[in-house]
Amino acid sequence: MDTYLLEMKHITKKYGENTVLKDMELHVKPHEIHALLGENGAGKSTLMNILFGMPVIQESGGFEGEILWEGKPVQIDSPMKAMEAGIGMVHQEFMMIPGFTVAENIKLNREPLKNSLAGRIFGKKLSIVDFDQMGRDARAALNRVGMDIDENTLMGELPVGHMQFVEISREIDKQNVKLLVFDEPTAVLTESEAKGLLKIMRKLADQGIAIIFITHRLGEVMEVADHVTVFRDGELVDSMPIGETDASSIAEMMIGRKMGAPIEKAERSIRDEAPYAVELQDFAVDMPGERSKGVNLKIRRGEIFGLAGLAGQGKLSVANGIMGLYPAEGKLFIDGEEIKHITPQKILEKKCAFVSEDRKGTGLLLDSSIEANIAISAIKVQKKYLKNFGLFKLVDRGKARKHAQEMIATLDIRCTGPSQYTRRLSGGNQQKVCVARALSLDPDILLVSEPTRGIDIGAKRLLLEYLVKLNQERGMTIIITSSELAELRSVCDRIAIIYDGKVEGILPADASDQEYGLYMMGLGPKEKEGSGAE
Amino acid sequence: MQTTMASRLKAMGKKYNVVIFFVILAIAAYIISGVAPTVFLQEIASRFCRNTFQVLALIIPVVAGLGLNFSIVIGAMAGQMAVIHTVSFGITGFPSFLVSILISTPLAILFGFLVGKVLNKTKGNEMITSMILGYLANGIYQFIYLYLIGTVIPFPDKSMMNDNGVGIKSSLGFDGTFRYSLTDVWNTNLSDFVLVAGIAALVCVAAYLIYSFVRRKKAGIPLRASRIAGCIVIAAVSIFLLVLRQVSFQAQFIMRFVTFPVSALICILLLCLFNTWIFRTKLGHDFRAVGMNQQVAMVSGINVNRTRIIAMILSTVFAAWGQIIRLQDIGTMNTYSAHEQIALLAVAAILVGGASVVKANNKNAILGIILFHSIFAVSPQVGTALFEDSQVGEYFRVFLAYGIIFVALAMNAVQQAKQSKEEKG
Amino acid sequence: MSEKIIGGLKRFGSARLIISLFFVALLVTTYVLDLSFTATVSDVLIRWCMNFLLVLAMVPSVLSGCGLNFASTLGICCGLLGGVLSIEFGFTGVMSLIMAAIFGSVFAAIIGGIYGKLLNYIKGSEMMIATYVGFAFVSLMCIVWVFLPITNDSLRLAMGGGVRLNVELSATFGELLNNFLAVEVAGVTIPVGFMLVCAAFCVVLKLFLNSRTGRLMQVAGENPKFAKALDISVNRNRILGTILSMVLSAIGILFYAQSYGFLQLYTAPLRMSFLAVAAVLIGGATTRRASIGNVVLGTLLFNGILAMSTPVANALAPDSNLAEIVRIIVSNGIIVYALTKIKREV
Repeated sequence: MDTYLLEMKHITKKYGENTVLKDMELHVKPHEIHALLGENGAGKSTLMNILFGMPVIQESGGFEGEILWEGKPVQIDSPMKAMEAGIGMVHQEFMMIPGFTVAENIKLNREPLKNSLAGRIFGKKLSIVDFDQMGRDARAALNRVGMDIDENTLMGELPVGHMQFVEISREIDKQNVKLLVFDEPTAVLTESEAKGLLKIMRKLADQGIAIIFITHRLGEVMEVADHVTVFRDGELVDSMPIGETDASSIAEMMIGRKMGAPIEKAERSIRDEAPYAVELQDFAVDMPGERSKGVNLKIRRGEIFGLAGLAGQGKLSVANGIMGLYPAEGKLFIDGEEIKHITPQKILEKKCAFVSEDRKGTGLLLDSSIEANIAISAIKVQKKYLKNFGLFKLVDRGKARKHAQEMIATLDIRCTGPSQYTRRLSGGNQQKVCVARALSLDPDILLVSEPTRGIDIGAKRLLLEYLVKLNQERGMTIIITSSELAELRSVCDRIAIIYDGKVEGILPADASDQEYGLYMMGLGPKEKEGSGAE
Repeated sequence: MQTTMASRLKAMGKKYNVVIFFVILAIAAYIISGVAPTVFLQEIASRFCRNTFQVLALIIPVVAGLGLNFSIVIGAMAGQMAVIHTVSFGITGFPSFLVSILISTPLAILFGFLVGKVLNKTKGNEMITSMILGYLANGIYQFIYLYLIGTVIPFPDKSMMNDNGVGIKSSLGFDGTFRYSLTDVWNTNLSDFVLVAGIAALVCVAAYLIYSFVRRKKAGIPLRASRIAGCIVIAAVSIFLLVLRQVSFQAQFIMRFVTFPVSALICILLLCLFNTWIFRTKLGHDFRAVGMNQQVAMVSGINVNRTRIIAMILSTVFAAWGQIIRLQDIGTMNTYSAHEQIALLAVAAILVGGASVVKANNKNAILGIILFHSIFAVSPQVGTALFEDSQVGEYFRVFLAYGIIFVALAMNAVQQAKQSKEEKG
Repeated sequence: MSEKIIGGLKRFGSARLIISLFFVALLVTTYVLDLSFTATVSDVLIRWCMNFLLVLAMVPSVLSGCGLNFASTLGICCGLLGGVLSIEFGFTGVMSLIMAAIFGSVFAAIIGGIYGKLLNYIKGSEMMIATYVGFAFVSLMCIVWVFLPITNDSLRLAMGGGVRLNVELSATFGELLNNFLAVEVAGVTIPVGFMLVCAAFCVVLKLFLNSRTGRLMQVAGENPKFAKALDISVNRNRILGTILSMVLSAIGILFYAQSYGFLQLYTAPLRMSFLAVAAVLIGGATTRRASIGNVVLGTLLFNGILAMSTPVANALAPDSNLAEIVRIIVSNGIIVYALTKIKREV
């Protein structure tokens, strides 16, 4: 049992100047459930793209290193080749046609055909599809995963939990599938469905199929995996059988990193006596892909507060829910006053401003000038930058431009001038425009989501320093949501970790890596009933 | 049991509400118009045989997710081009029909390919693009046949050209040449047709029932209720018509005076069979997959763009053939406008038959043609009867055609907007 | 420097470049073939003005996010109804035009409001639906024209009821604007007054777009998500844009009619929206963006080509409607071209 099914050796991948994988190793045996762990952006998806020969890899200049499949070197340069070799993928979002039956979905584009005259003359496209055989094949595949749903049901009528199993059935129905990749398969399942899925994974592994299991749920890893490989920042941290490690050390391996140079911050008195600026009680936000299910938080005035957590756990929904961008339930207090029926207008009037994580969507008018972008919030909410002519109000371009020029200077926005379209700016400068727009409202509370995603180091540092400066000079309460834990730890006073839509716990910036890791993977001490953690 | 029956009826009503509405409208229109039954039946029979082929051409693009193919006018132009040249070669009779089909096919394949290419570049806006492409093609067609013929392109038959030797005449007559080249192959009166077709239908139904009964019994699956119901309806209609013909002298008299082009009907039947067959092949299955979800189809390795182009080619070719069938029966052609209303009428008809932007089948086409044209045929008389102004009836039927398309498009768009809203959350 | 030129040309777009060259070629041909050059140029100028507002109507529709207004025929029909009523009530001269515009605008605003509401239910399919709303409305109006209880003899059909197919305007507001402050320079008639009126509409629209309301409407049109974050109602602003577009179309058709000398009723407006759409596209607009500059350039190029192709075509191929074919190919060609440029939002 010592022969590996798949060996990926010395894999290095660059996107332009940016190295996303460095000397990566992955060795998978048959019969094995191999867990792949790492934060978002650790390089897992790039490695899988290489394994599947996705076009994006070839288009960006290929990769270095070699892949051995059943001991022999192979070139996988197209998804077709991966499929032929016997590599299958269970997607995170279901690749299903709702209007087709379960059987038709399982056999999609691999339909059994009848031998007919037209087919023989004009090729297989004009052969009759053998629907009876299709049903039988689908039945067999469904039986293998232990599903007793009717193969003739329409896909659209199945509950979401079942779709995953149909997807798995489709993969194992493919001939000689030897390796299956599960990409966060339990993310959309209920707890009992997830349990069922883990069982099936075990069953498949016992049948001899190797499984690569990508997940953010450490509990599931401990339960089902045989072997675990941990990535961090595109590098291999360690790889070992599950028996040789435990949850705490895995968590530490994932998070551990050198802290970036800390942002200069004046010592501040502890503000325990400061009143609460934002208070959330059982705050649940229905934001697709980032649902939160009941968040309790109290954030003091003048605090820099961080919201951390892995993708999909719901951290992004908190700020979006507060701003009224997605429907929310539960209670929200701003400066001690409860806000009922949240609308963006109400929140903006309470002197809250938001820098969205969806920079190019919610954050910017890409086909408008920098000055138009910066001024529009204040024009709408506070009726600033206007000349009043009684019946109508004209935009005062002079004033708007002057303000834009000030912001360009303060934030060092690199542009040809305030009339440049924001579409033509770099990511970092676009983000600065977003911040400038939020500041034009002169807010007391500033919510910033993913402030440094996709921007260069210089701009990153400048932005973070500026946020700290705003906090210290104007006493602004700042709530930062970020996937980059290091960045949060460099500026925040306290950091709440969101897991599965709830606050897993709140840590000070200098808590240990291990603690952060365990909290993020859902193994922290669960928030106690009713105690709005502080 | 009763509640399920009631709910089933309700579901049926919802499914067929468009059809039911137009059945009522058609009956009302017929009664108000006071048109003689012979005239009415003749009108429906000839309209049915002229137009159904092109309506059937709409089905494949709908299933393949391209929506209602307004660019069948381009197919129709291919048909007209073929007819013009066939007649100019001096070919007459049934051969002229065959030659027209032969010439039109490569043209239509080329046009369908080009249209498909453009539609692949305008995904999400296929219908408006196909419509505007139709207008654009009309301009090019006019340019070729009004200016290039006789100046750049030589043309043998001077009698079909304008007096100054440039361009084709704006109105062409095919008496003694191309006219009835298909119709005359097998043309009978309705009375004889009912006799033959009625008996044939009964035999077919019986044979089908016995065959499937035996086969199903072997496999141990009960016969599907809907199939049995279908058979019963066909049998009942056949028997009713046969009995009516035998018993009522008046009915037989009326039927005798309605001519019925059986050969065109056979062409229509063949296309129906083709449509049924194609959706059971791998290609047809791909049409359905691509139509329902391009993304998933692509991920599973189906060549989405190619499949869509094939759908457009098939539709364009059938539209061209349909135009030839139509023109040989009408016998005259407005060279520069005969194709203009084709898409409007065909699309409206199939929608009246219960189709939508994403769903269409043979039944919708057949039912739609009968209903839509029974309203269309009598609306001038209805206008006269109600307002003493036939022009109003004329306007009303145009309004009806546009209106039904608008309602169908709007219903589909509302559904789509809802869906995308749900997906976004 | 050459890079700048190439960049500029790229932004200008190959389709537009071809059309501009065609325009210049026609102009040169007219001059070289000596086809009453001055008369043709006068004609170009008049057509530029008479179509101007119909094309300008596309701007608020596009900017509010409703796309190109293929249903501007609704506004056109309202304008025609306004014209008919104004004549029916016996207004003459300048007053008849003003009253027609007022009646037409009121109808257009009402219809635009209803239609705008409809558009909010069908986001994403506006163009196709708009086309058929337009077609259906024109055919509905045909029935309305027949039954309109008209007493004025200049409007009534000689036999039977209903309004005439073409209503003669010489007694009311025909050529009113054409002749307003018209100046003749070297044989070319320049309709200075008409141009000024068009310019005034541009200024008013520009002011609106720079007002708070106008700005917010443009935000809603450019980026609905962004608008939502600022609590700007996307739906209400779409309705606002649609109403403005319809009102401009209504007044636009009256300007058109006064130049043409007739109110053309019944099926005449059927495809008119396509011509306006084509013109603004030629001017450089897209389904997402349109400016007054696009309107000025597009109307001149498109209608200039139509105006000049008639004499040129007659010189090349007498007794022909080659000009009509040019119109069909250019207008529909540019629309198909624009459709292929739409980036699919997934």
